[in-house]
Amino acid sequence: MAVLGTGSGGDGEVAMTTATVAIGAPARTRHRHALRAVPFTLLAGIAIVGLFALLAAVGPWVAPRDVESHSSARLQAPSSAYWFGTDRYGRDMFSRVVVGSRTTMTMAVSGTLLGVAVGLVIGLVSGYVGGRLDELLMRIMDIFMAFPSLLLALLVVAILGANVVNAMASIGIVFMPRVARVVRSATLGIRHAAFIEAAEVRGEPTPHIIFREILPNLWPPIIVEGSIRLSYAVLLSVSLSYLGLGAQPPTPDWGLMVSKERAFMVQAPWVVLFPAGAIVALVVGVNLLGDGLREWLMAWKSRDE
Amino acid sequence: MSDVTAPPVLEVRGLSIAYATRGGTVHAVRDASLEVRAGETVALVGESGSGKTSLAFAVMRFLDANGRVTAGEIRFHGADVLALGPAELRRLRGARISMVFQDPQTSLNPVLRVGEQVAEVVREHLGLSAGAARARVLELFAQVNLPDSASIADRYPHELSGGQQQRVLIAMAFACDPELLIMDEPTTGLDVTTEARILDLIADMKARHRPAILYITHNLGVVARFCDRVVVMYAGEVVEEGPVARVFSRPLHPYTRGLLTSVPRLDWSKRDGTLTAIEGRLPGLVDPPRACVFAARCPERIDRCLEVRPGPEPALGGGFARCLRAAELADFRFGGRRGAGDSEPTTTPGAALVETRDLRCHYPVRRTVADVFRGAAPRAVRAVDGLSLDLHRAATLAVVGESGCGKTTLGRAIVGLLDPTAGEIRVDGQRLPGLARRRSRELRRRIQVIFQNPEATLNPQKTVGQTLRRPLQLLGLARGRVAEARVLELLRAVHLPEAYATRYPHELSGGEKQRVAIARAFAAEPDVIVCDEPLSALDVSVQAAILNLLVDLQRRSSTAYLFISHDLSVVRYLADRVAVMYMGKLCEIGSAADLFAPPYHPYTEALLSAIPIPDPAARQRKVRLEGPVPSPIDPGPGCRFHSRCPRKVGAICEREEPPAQEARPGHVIHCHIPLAELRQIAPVVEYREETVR
Repeated sequence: MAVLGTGSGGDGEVAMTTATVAIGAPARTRHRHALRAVPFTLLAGIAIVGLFALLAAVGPWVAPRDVESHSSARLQAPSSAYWFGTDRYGRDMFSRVVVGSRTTMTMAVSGTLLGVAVGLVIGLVSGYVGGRLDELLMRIMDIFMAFPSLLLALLVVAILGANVVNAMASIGIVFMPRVARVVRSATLGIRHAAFIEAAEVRGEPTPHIIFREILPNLWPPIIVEGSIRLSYAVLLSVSLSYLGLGAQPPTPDWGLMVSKERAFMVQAPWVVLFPAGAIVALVVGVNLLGDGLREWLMAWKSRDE
Repeated sequence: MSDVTAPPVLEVRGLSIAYATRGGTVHAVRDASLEVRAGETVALVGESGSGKTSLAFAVMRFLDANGRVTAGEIRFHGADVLALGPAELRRLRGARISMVFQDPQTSLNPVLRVGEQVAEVVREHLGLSAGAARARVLELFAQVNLPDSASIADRYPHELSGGQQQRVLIAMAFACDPELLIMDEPTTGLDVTTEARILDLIADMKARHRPAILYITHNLGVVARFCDRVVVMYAGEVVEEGPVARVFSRPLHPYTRGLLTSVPRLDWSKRDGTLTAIEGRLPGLVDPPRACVFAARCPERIDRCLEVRPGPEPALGGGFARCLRAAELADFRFGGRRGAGDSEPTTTPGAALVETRDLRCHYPVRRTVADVFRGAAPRAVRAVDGLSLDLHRAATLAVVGESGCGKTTLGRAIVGLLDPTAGEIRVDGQRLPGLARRRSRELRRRIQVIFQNPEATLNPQKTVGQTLRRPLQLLGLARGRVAEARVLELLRAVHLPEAYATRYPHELSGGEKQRVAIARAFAAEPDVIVCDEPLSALDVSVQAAILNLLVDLQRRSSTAYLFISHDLSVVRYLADRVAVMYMGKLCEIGSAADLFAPPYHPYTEALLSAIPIPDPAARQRKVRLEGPVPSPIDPGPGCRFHSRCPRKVGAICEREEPPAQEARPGHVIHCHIPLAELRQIAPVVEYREETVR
């Protein structure tokens, strides 16, 4: 089964992997077994996404040249001086691809986190409280889901204005209903478990039940869903930039680079090849990470039974 | 009974089965041997994790992909089953060896009519034409007492009750007159009255077709009813084997004895003494003990038990036991004398602690579009329909009945998980608001709950300590250091090591989880605990320990229990008073001793007759109920039980609510039959006085 699984990157990665450890393995013994059985896909995913996350963090300091300064070496082919060649203004493509990791990673990761955070709360409340509130929230989510992802994102950016922050927000809004659905169904799965009913009998306040009793049990599906979302977020954020609705020139951004340089694609293919390659590499990495995570979490689950 | 000279139908020799798992290789079955001869029924008894199902699946060559036979052989009429190819296996399964599984719901294909499913087996193996197959199916359905077999055959599985589904599966198993029938807990999950009828059916089909049967069960009472020999398994090994009469009267292995004594006898109550429980837990099967597999939990253990693997010690009266001390332990007395203090009441009934008055809990039935057009009135499932009960301080009131009788709904209403439709619940005379969140903190503290399923009762993400600390904080009972100390105290009270405070639920066994759940309920120092089937998901040996614990804690804390159960032997042991419910109404209520002796309500009589008693010497009169429990949606006037009542008087039962007749002070029977007549009924269960075993 080909599953679009993905993972996380940048600051998100740290947060998410700690969460994984916290849910899956309370016991020390389980840590040991689990660590021994880390799937290869997860390791590969962590390596790729980790590399891009690192570039996003330290890119500007490791890039060999300034990304915005023009030079006379225009549309140079890749060479030992310019590893990925130069663009029409003579800017170093290698530096731009390296530094460009930051905008894409930031937009994708924070957009995903936003979508997961909001969707999570809606899904939990909808699933736990149920009744009319559930109907209302889910119908609103249905309205959001009625729009194709990119169209909805475009709509949001068109209303709010084109910049990185709004692009990020639009990704969050696109993802919110999808995450809410997944979280709601997972919530319904344990809604009537005896430990939840025990909490109700005890008279626990609703927020305690939702966030302390239910939420900790939902991390595995949330993490898997989040990682799937992240791979879409990467594509969505580069699409927005490509359409001129995300990062604005002269910011080095992969989507923007592909869009602006594509006129020179024939005589200087490297101006498109390298940013596009970076996009592909990141998406593959995120998918590997997600697939690996899912496999790993499943393994834990089956061990428990 | 069986022909001793003929070769056995099934012969298992030195069988070992291992499963490859992430945690290592699990040696589920080790060096197990058994044989089943023609016409013989052999019971394979064991608790969860004993390897009994693995063994049966190996015989059918149904082992999971990660499981394999590592040693030994399985012979069917002398032929090596393990060497068979796929085509030969297909000819064997269903035709010469067939199997009945535990869960009828998943054993039948939901999208095929049940008649077709049975016909397919017949056509495939007997090569019958469609018409002949159909005729054979109807004949089989008639044999398994399915009423109106033609119409049943055309139904889909979901249109049948659980008992009917199991009958279809039994018909399917017998369809090709198999030489060997393997039944894997065929009655587990069914109601007691249904179970009794299915067991009658199996006994009847056995007499008619005379196959060899390997009957897998954890329930010793079922074994006593119709099996010839017993094989007891523990942690993957056969620990004892022998004829039913010998094993039940002179069990040699301490584990077998433990199993027998941990089921409370029907004439035993908590006043007669504690039950003998098997302490400890199943050994890990990744690295099973080399010496005696039961040694760690054995009350009779000597030092040598931890060093030497016991060989099969032959037993007087047939069979063997794998116990070094089998010869010395030969003397066994089950139970003891009948309790003298049985009639003395433990509590002086003053004002009731919890009272329900005309309590009603109705679930509205969703109206369909057709209903709206037809203008049909909204209907309701009357789960609890006018129930008035009193629960006294420090006493146990048991509520019994089959599934769907409303006992669980009653419990949920009392703890505040659902809002009653009408009527009221009072605590110390004070009216209780419906839902828990509307009750005061003090009221919530006073009423606690223990649920059925130990797997779901604890939050998997919280340590035992966190679970126990929370009610203390929330209810304002203790905090900080005091709370910590209290948690440890609670753990000690439920006989768990203090170190468990830092453990997570997945590290605990089922029984241990239930102990934590009990500790959580007691943390609030409640006046009442509603126990909703707290034992039914546990193994027999664990049940006894939990039962002892509940009795002990009640003595020390004067907490009242509302004990919801379908298991009458447990109820007899634990309860002071017992209420029998049927379809939301009370049939009979009285002290435990009153209820288990005539006069009975006809429903109580049937329930008592259905209890599987692990004693071949006990006499049990046969009363069977026909048909399933009728729909609880808007039942008509009159006695709810009239449609199944074997002692129905006449039209009055259908028209009029039965009167409450007081047989003795506190013993009330709701029935149209006059008390004088009810008193004439003979006792259902009789033990031989002072049975020497």
